[in-house]
Amino acid sequence: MKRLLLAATSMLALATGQAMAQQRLVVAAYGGSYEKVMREQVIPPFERANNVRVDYLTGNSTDTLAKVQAQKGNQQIGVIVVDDGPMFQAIGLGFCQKVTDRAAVDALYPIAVLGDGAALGTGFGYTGLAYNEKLFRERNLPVPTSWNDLTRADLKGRISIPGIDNTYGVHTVAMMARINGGSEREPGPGFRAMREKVNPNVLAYESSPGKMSEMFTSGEIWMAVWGSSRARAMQVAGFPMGFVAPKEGGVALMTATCAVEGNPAPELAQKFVAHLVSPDVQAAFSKEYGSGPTNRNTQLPPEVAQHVIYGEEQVKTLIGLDWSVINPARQEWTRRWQREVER
Amino acid sequence: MSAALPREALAPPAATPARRARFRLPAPFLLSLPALLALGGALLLPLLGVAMLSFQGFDFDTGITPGWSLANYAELARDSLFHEALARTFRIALIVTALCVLLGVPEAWIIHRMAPRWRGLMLLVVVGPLLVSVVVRTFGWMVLLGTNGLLNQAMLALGIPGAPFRMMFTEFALILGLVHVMVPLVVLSVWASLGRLDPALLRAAESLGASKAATFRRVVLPNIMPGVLGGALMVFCLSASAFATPAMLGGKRLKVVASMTYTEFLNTLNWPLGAAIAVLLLLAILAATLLWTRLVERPALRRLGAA
Repeated sequence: MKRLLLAATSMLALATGQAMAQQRLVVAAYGGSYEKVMREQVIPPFERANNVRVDYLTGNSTDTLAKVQAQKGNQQIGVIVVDDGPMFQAIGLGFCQKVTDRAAVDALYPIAVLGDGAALGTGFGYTGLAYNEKLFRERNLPVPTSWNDLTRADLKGRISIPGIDNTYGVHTVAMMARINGGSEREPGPGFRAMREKVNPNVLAYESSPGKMSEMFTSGEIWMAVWGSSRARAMQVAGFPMGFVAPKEGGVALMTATCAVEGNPAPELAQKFVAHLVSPDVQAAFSKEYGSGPTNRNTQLPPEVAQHVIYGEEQVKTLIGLDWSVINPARQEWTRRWQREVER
Repeated sequence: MSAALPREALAPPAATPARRARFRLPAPFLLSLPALLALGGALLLPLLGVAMLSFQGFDFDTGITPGWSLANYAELARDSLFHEALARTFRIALIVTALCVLLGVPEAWIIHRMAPRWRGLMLLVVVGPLLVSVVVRTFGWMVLLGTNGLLNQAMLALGIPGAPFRMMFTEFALILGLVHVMVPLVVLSVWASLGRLDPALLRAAESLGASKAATFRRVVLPNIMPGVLGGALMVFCLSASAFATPAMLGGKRLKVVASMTYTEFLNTLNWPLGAAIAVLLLLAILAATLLWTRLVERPALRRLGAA
């Protein structure tokens, strides 16, 4: 009995000793298929290599930004992953710590280094039109080719668009503005087109990727404005998802990461940021999540490469929006969207 | 509530006026102190914080700007979107309350009249939904109400003209979901009143020749009125501040005040404006509650001789 007790206490001592030595890092990033890749392939090797425990906080970009804003002065989150637009906001608000690993920064395409090295792009994708290939074939509907397909009468009540709180929603307004004679600086025509022509077709504005997938699988919606990686993830899961870059252009969408200023484990956070842009991790995301690598040393097998944005040349074929104009006006865009479009 | 109970229980009934004046204050006060502290720390302080936040300004690049101004309230007073959401919130809360009372009171009465062994089971069936998370229950409605959902498939199979109907993302879906969530509250609250109902009263009514309907209307109903009114008030307050069900079944278009608060806090990051919306919702519900007690509950109870 005595020996057993001794063994138990020493085990306990060992266990607590280990727990004390083990540091923690909080990572806030997207949910859905992105989280799956993170939990299965990205986080475990990092935990082993650095003897650390990583806690994962799920949220879309604006949620994550809100959390960082809420914890200003007492940051718990070490690393965030958000879309490029919100990342520029995060940099502007001073939430990002400059990346210290010069080698990691130099390995990226210059377009993926944001705010002079305050944040790094982790993957390329683009916003376009996702549609249920099977339903379109069965009903003899023409495959979408243009942003104007959002106004088609034969898709009335069968379309979903993510809300303005989501980058896809911002992209939709910006593109409707551009093809109707406006621009990011002059979004009026975009809002008018959304209100008069697109809104009557929209069943629901849905920002959550999980609910969007659910509406596609239940046949509730036939087409949606969505991201290439999200559509790819549905294809990998076996759904007959079609995805096109409209002829006016798909809109470039980069996911980006940064270490949060004033976080409790700055060294680990910096290491994790470098880990996210390392070729191995980038290849895993390309294969499972359908995002294009931002690290130019990433080697992809051809069957993976054909489904993602691969290389700077391909990135250049996409439309890049002017976030320096949108971000300061984003509150105004949100107001207008809520009052003019989403009603 | 907690302050009143110990006083009734502990004040010595036979004490002289002088002794009562000396002892009445501290003992109940001390006894309710823990509750007061908990309430103050967990409810009043945060509420005060929210109220103070609502007077501050916001700028996206600099965040919350300190100061005292009524700008947020002025903005809401002018904002037609907020007016629409406020009107929708109270319209829905009223309809849900009415439906819950219409369904819940007979339900409780029927269960009350059942044989004891069925009674427990049926009560469990009614209360069962409360054991499941609101989110899960609402997801169930999403599956049922979709254009390709079970309800529409059934209506198509029955050849009902006009099917399939669009039910998701309508106020109908929202009300249906809320009623499902709230009915057990009315049933429980009426159930408690029914438990205090003296069975002899029913027999007396019967022996004096009252019909079943007259007994229910003139004997049972007045006796359970406190339960009905209390349950209705609970349903109204919870429906007016409900967030998950409206957000999931109504979608982004059908904004209610609670979902507007959520958007301001978590998407726009304009906390002061969100706080102002929250304060206005609280005041509106508080006003409705006071009006209800003053104009409906108190006169009704007085007429029935219960208060």
